[in-house]
Amino acid sequence: MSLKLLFVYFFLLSIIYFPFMIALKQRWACAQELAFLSGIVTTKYIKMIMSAVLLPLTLFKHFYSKTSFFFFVMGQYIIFRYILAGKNSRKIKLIRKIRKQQEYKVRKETAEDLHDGLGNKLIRIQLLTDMLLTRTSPVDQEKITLIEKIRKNTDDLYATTKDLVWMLDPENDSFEQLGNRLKNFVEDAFRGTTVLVRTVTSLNINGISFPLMFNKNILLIFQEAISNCIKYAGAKNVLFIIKSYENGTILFLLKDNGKGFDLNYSQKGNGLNNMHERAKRINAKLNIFSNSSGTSVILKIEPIKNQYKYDDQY
Amino acid sequence: MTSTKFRIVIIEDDHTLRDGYAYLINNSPSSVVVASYCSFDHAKNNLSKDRPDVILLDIQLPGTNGIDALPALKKLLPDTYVIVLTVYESEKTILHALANGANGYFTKNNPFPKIIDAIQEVTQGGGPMSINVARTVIMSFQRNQNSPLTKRETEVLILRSQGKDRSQIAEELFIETETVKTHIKNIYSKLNVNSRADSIRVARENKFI
Repeated sequence: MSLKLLFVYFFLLSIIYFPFMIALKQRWACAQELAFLSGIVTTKYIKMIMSAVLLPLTLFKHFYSKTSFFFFVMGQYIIFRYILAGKNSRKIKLIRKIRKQQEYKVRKETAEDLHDGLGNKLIRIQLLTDMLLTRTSPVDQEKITLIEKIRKNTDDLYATTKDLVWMLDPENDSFEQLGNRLKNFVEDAFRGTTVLVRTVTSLNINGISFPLMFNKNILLIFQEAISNCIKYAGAKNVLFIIKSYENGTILFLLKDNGKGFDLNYSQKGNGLNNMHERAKRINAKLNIFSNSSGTSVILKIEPIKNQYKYDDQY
Repeated sequence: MTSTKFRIVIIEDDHTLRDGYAYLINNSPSSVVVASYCSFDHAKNNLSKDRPDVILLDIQLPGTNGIDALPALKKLLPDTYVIVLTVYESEKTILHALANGANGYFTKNNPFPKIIDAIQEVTQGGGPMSINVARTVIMSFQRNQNSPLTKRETEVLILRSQGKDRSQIAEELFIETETVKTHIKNIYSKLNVNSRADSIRVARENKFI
């Protein structure tokens, strides 16, 4: 038995049976006094007197020395700790809930502020650029090119703001929302090109809610991959798959039949490094395979503890 | 030939956008802006006089918002087409606007020539929408119309499929947590399931959500 446990035992004992011990002490003092008064002062006779005066006084094994009593006290201790732990866990749960609600509120408000503030201003710039374009003479090609560049950059900035607002909004933390967003993003990105796009989503698990900014990293990994595909691959077909498995594993795959690229050479570029960096941040495995017949980008997320929450209350 | 041009009214609270739209529409060969207002409340008394063919309506407006203004506009001017022009593109807002009588729905980030085309289209009986809006509408119509779930239960289940817990759902739908619990119990019993994951799976398979 550990020293700590013994200490706890005696500590509890002293607390619970303190009044009883006082009574014993008083009896002892009383016996001593009697012995003194009667002129018998040796301890030897005290027992005699006690048994004579304070009958019945039988000698028995102290209750606190009994094994059953030890377990009884320890049982009480365990129950006490259990109640205390329950209280603490309720408190922790409450704190977590409040924190989550606050985070939800702050994120929601920030997303709305960004949307209303920055988004509206960008829309104004877009419209003013359209106005400027109508006021520019069609023969002034140089000016038109510049204005179109402004419009293109504003459009990109608007799209980036929209992404940021989307990521910030806590309502988009779910796997389903991410799936929809990625699917739409892939379809939008290749719209107007001759590339044939096929998207497949197969979700076997539901109710997954990712932690803050988890979706952001996945979204940005594939935005980079798609942007690379459009710029460099020269592909005719693109396949995008999102699949979730019963065991909780989630797989994202972007495959094209383009001309591929040299991984060793391109590894030095920031784009690929950033993709790997983002995958590392969310403990996901990112594999990129490329050869002359195409490129595959595979992101795999394992259901590690705390990796994401599988929120099932019922 | 101003008389053959479509008469447009703009209801938009941002004056830069309002003036911009007016300028671009007036520069187009087919339309003319007859009036522009900063809110529906300012517009409603003058609309009969303006006799617009098409109204470009923002959603976020001071006083009566665009969604609530739609039925009133339709009652006031039954033959006028209304195109919603907004930054909001959530499914709830889009469907609400269309249900309230909007003839078209565009997000403001679209290049303005597309809005000019939309004005033409709507007057020819079309229902112009930006791509993202059309996609949202199609997705919502792909749902099974023979669902055993009530409208509210479907809403609750959709929110649950988005990973929200009971208190968040209650907050969003402005109902009590206990009511959410009751809805969930009813959903489980109607779909004959015992868990959240199963309820979402069954609902998805049958396109109830």
